[in-house]
Amino acid sequence: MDNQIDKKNTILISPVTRIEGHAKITIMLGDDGNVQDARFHVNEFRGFEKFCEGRLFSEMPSITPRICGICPVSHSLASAKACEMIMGIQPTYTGNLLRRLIHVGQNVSSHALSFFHLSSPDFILGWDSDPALRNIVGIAQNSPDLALRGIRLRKFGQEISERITGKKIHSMGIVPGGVLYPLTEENRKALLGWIAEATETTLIAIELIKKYHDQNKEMVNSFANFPSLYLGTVGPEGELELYDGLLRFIDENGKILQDQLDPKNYLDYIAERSVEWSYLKYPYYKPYGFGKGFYRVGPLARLNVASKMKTPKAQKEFLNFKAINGGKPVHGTFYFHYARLIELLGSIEEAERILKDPQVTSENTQAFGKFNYNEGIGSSEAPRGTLFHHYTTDNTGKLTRVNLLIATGQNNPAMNRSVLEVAKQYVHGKNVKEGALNRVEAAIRCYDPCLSCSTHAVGSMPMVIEVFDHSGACVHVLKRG
Amino acid sequence: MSLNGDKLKTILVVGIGNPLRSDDGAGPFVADCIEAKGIDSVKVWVTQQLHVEDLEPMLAFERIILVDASTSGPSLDIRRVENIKGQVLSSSHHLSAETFVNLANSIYHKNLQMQLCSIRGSCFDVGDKLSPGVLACAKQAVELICSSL
Repeated sequence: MDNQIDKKNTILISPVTRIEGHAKITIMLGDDGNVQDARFHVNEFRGFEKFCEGRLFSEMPSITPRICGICPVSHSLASAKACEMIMGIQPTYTGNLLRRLIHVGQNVSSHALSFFHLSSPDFILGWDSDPALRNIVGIAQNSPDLALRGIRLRKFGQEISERITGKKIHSMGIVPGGVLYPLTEENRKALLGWIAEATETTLIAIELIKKYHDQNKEMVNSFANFPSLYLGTVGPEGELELYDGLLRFIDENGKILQDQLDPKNYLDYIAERSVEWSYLKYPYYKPYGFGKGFYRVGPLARLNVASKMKTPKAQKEFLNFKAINGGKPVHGTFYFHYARLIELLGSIEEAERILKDPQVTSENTQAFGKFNYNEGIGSSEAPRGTLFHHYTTDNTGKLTRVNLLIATGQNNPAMNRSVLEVAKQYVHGKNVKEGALNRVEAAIRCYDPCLSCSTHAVGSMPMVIEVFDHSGACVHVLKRG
Repeated sequence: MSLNGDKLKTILVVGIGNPLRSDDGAGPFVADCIEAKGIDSVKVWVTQQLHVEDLEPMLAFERIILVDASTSGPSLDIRRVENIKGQVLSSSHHLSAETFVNLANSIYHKNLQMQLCSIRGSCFDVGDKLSPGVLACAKQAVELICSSL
């Protein structure tokens, strides 16, 4: 794939580190040494959509969690919902409660991983600190209490899944009609026992990021700050919704373009186009067309799109978030971290609410049905953004077409733009310092992309940055790992 | 199998690997063989990869033996895992044994007594059987580990 890019004055970052999956970044310099263009490449291919063809639709909620070890629940949920449309059934009340609980557990686990393990080393240890220690090991040495809290917060999220489904990762048991396993009283109490610590840890993280914002206002506000459209799922009153709801698109000024859209009609509003340099497609908002219609999903988008949060502590912080840009959408990419932590707080509050619902330990966890229709579409808000599963079957229930529209794919155009913006800001000339390239990588990390969802993570993880001069000769190499 | 053990178990044997990727299943094979021996003091746990959250329950054990397939090195090797500082981490998908010992020291102020048993695999394709040479080494590893318990 490198050969498709002009090697003149090109900087290559490959693979990009501290993200979920493998990718590389190329930065093309002009003759004056300034950044001319930048691209984010996803250079693995996985092909889940293709090899699922021919399988029975009912197998998909068991197959699709294997797409990703970080957001298996979101895949399982979107898949189960698509199957429910094919079967024409609805989950039971308790089935829905337990699904919500597993889903917020995944959100806690994923967001804790993103903040404490992957991103916080940059702003706790410093952008230019030793890359060998700019990770959770470095955090453990520098701030052991914070590292322990981060690890335990992720553990809490995983334990929600483990105590319901028996597995902390690749949880099984989310099925059409609900879930297979009830929650025992013992497990309900054990999970409630985590709430105070998880809340405290998240509030500490929120204070930490807000302090960083205060101390680095210029950097935070200028870091890949560009307008875009936003997509997220909301409830009937516009409240942020992760599990089930309807779609809302807003424009760069916050004007609602589409509201209360049924996810089943997603193809009326979203189209995709391939580009030659990446296996990730370029989705866009159909009414605006390719180019003008690029939009963002995920925590920043969801908070921009939502009118309010569902829980009190998250709502209080949400108001602070909205104040950043006077009630208009917050475009600064660095604010993904803050948005992610607000969602994390809301997820913990929601977990507590669900665990206190008397019906959560009911054994009526699943409704039953049979194959009735040839098409099913399901969606959920994965930690990284809106996720769609779309299945078409033949008359025996075998899948003839599978379309998986993944959150990271939808953020692809914005990630490219973010890389370009940050590269323009921090990269000047060929002899680039590692810390500057780390900032370019960090633009990607803000989105917390999960490339495994649409590709696959293989191979070792050294990082190599190459700088090419006008003649195409490599004049500078930085190696990591 | 859960990692949460009881107080009578003082030794943890961890079989690491995917039994559906041929020789990558060497670790789980060894773990299953040791489990079958029903040694009172031994807790056996099988996982496809180590995660940082697995560290906390491991602290309860006096000794931990990791068994994993390797892609290089001797056909069978058992060594003590040292606390090496400056481990390079670039993904949440993989943690080395050395990183585990390092994190245990940094966060929990504990010196994990950890050994790593490596069995060099030759085939990691889809399949649920070990190569003959790897199977022989895995059986040898079972005997070596059991004799050290």
